[in-house]
Amino acid sequence: MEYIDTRQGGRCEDPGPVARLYGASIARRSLMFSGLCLLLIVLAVWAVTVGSYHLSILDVVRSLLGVETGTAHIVVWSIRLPRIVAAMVAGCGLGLSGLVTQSLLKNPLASPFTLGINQGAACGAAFAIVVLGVGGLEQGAVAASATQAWPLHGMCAVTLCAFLGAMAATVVILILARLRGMSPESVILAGIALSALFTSGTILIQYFASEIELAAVVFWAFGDVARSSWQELWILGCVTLAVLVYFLLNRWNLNALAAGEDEAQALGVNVTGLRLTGMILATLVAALVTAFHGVIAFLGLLAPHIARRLVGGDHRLLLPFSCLIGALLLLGADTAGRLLVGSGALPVGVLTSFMGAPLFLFLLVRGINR
Amino acid sequence: MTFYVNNLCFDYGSAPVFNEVGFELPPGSVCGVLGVNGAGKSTLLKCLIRILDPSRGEVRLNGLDLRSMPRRKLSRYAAYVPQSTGAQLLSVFDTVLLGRKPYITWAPSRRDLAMVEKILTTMHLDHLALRPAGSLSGGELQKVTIARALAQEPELLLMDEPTSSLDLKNQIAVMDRISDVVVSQGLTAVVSMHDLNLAFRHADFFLLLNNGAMHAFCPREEVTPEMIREVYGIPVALERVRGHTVVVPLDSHQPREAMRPSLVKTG
Repeated sequence: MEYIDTRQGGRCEDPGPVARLYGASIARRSLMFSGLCLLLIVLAVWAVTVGSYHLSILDVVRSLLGVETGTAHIVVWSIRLPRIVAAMVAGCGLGLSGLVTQSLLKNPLASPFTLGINQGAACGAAFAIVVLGVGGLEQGAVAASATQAWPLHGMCAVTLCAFLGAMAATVVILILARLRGMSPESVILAGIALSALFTSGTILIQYFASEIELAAVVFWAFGDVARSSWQELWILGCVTLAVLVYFLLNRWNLNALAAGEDEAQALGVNVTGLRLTGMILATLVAALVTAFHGVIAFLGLLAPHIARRLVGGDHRLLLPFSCLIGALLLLGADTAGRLLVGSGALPVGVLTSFMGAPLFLFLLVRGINR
Repeated sequence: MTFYVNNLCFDYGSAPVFNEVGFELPPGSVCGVLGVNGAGKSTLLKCLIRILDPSRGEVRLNGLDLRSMPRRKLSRYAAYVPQSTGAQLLSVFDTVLLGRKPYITWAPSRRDLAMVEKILTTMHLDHLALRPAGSLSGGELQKVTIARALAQEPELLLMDEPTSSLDLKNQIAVMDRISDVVVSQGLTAVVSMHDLNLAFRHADFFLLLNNGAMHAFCPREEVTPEMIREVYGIPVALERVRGHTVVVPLDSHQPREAMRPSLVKTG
């Protein structure tokens, strides 16, 4: 098996100029990753300082370290930090989910939005608010309802129903895909059909809703990172991290799959198993994000495409980059939304659609020219 | 080191694709798989490396049962070169490095990197190393795919029409390269081919598939014009030209006279 060393008489221990060039290109992109990480941290700290209650950088740092205990501490820990962390975690989750659905299905159109997961969640939330009659918007989601006697109450029920709706979309897609032999095209088509179905379901529910319920349904569907408690953030953060680790362990397999299904199998990848497990995990993250934060459109599509422009097709780099860019975009959009409106009332989902669609088109046009 | 296939059958549900294929190849030999379009050449290759699951039969390399081996282990023994690969964003270096995947647990070792470099250099692909594989020409991409297969350090090479997208010069260059590797390292190669002349030039054994059955398996020297007529449905003559066997299709038509370009009067 010693293919080159013995039989061709060459030494195989010293990488030559090509391998060094390759190493340098990896190092350059790792440096870019560190730079973007730094940018995210700076943006996050700056985002804590801006808002209607004025805080200096010093106040923020003192509050974060626990030295400051007054109003600044409450503003930082209870209002701004949950929102900022939520934006980063949700952006990270959507970037991850979008990237791996695109890679697993080998389709650049795949994302939680095009697979009907978001629409499923919205339909579930509408069902909870209108049919079950739960979900006053004044309550925080999981934490607030924990004190109540009936756990299936308030925002918790809405979140749960949204999650079930998203998972229903996921399960239907996976079953259909399995019946059709997991052809990537059929998965996207099934997603489009499901989106239409869930959207009309939501409209039907809205038709029978009272004005207040209607407002609640519409308000829920706006993607918004301001409604999370630390408890939800822990859940979302841990799940996203675990899923990211799973895909990092499979990064070579994802690269092999990018080369082609047959090739991946010949390179030792269990393609069917990877697809099934991967899709379940990716949609789980997307479903959780949507259940907690509503519909944040376009991010799952946009972040992976930007990451590919920056680092190419290697999943060893793509996975961290897509997460990081998702976090950066969502935090940036949310902070911009807070600054634009002032009181922090503009939901980030509106902005991601507004900014995301033109940016996506721009990337597409650039791609054609290149 | 022999590659032994016995009684291999495959069907898509009720429709059999091929039945009872069996042959044995010594190390250092190239076997050309030939047959008309749809004869099951690609399917046979995919069955040998378990991209498709044969319904029955035996596939052994040096006595090792390839059909029950874990996939990752199989990929250290056998490499597959598909007919065509889609456009991809992975760089050429990364694509060839994928061939080391069966050996990599976490990160590629220095030896992996050095080996990729060596293969790229010998195949004259080193200047393309950092280009996305999708931006290469069809011929270059095919060479990259072959380079990836060689990086797997396989003992068995399965290639599905490796020269289909290459021009004449590259066809010869790629097949010569494959022959060199096969002979110098004692590999076994099973190559499906369309071009009979190329097969006569590079294959030591011929496996002729016809209507879902193995029509013949024999050394190159024993291939007769009748066999080719039975498989392809047209009479041929086998001629020797400067030491190479060439296939001349014979039909009722005589060669057409060469046309002379007629002058077009302008003004």
